[in-house]
Amino acid sequence: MKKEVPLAICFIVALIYIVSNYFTGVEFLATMKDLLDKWYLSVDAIVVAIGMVNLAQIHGRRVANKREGWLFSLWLMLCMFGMFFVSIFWFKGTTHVGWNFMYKMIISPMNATVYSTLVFYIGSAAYRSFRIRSMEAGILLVVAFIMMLGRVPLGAMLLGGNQAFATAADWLLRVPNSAGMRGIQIGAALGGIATALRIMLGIERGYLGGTGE
Amino acid sequence: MPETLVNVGTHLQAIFTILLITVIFKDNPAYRFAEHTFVGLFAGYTVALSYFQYVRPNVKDQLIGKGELHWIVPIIVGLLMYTRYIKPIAWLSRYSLCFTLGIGTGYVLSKDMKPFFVDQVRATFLPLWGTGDWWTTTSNWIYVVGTVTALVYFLFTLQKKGVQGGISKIGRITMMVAFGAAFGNTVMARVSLFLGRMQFLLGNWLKLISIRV
Repeated sequence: MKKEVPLAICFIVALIYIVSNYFTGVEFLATMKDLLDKWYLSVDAIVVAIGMVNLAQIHGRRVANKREGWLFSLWLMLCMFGMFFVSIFWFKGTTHVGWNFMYKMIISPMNATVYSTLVFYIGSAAYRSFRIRSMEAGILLVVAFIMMLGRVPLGAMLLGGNQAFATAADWLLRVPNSAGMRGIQIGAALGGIATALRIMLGIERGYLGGTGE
Repeated sequence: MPETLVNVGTHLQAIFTILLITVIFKDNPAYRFAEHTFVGLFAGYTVALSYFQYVRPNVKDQLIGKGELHWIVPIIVGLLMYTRYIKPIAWLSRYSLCFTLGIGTGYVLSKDMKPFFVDQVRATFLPLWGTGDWWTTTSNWIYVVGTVTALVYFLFTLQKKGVQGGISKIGRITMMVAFGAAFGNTVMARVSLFLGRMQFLLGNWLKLISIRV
């Protein structure tokens, strides 16, 4: 009941999904697949709030124990629950002007700023990690350098208007980059298929842990 | 959006942008305040969005409105995930986990196979002779050799010595080129985001520069 039934559910659901994708044209299977897709999205939407519960747990504990930075944690929870409850009870949908204000004027620009500040960390981390200690690190740096110069007018300016950096960047992206990425992709796909099979057949059960026997 | 709200939003956006950018110099309370605001608002926003897009339409319109009783299944399955927080019945969350994993594995074994494996292998079969253009032929050779050697690098069941070692070294170099290109592109994307924020601060907010669109 505690392990076998969930594993059986996993197997049956996966089997229905696979069969309905390979045997197209059968109305019953098509309906089942459509239903499973819709159910999956709904379950996913309900489960998303687990993130909110986790955040509340972590920051709630920090506030309760008055650990360092607890005021920030309190503020985070106020923002989180405030945004959630105001959206549900006041905005009542994604067309409300308040909802658009919060997304377009606050959340989206903050998101862009957080990501943009990462450029400085990437730069300093790259300097520390990729200092040319081996041939591979050197190749990585040279390619990155060409890619960067090929994407901005500075590259052409340095060569007196010659587009060599842009041409080289395009070729690097199209040929060796695609080749390397494709190799990784095929390897990852094979790994994903093997893992999916292991999960479906109940060989891989590690994900069941953490909830008792 | 009313003009007053846009003006308020512009000032708020500018303040939060400056607070977030201060982290470039050092981690400080101003940055932590903005960071906690962002995380809180984004978490609340994401959960509210899931509610508006999936939970409410399915419960209110489909289940209650149209009487489609099958919607009870994903609601129960989704809610079962929250039993993780109640120790004696925490194992019930496995039902929810196994349902989503079942669909996930079914998806990988049926739909992911073609784009991430079959199509990738097929696209690697490039003409290695008689293309009529030496540059295309060379690029195709680099492509095929790069992909195959990158794959060989992930063969961990074979010792990386002799010919095998040489092949996997070529694979490693190909992957380094790919990582270099990915790194260069990431840096440029972040720089572009940073420039966007600077344009906002100096143009939209302070009106010190004019922005040509």
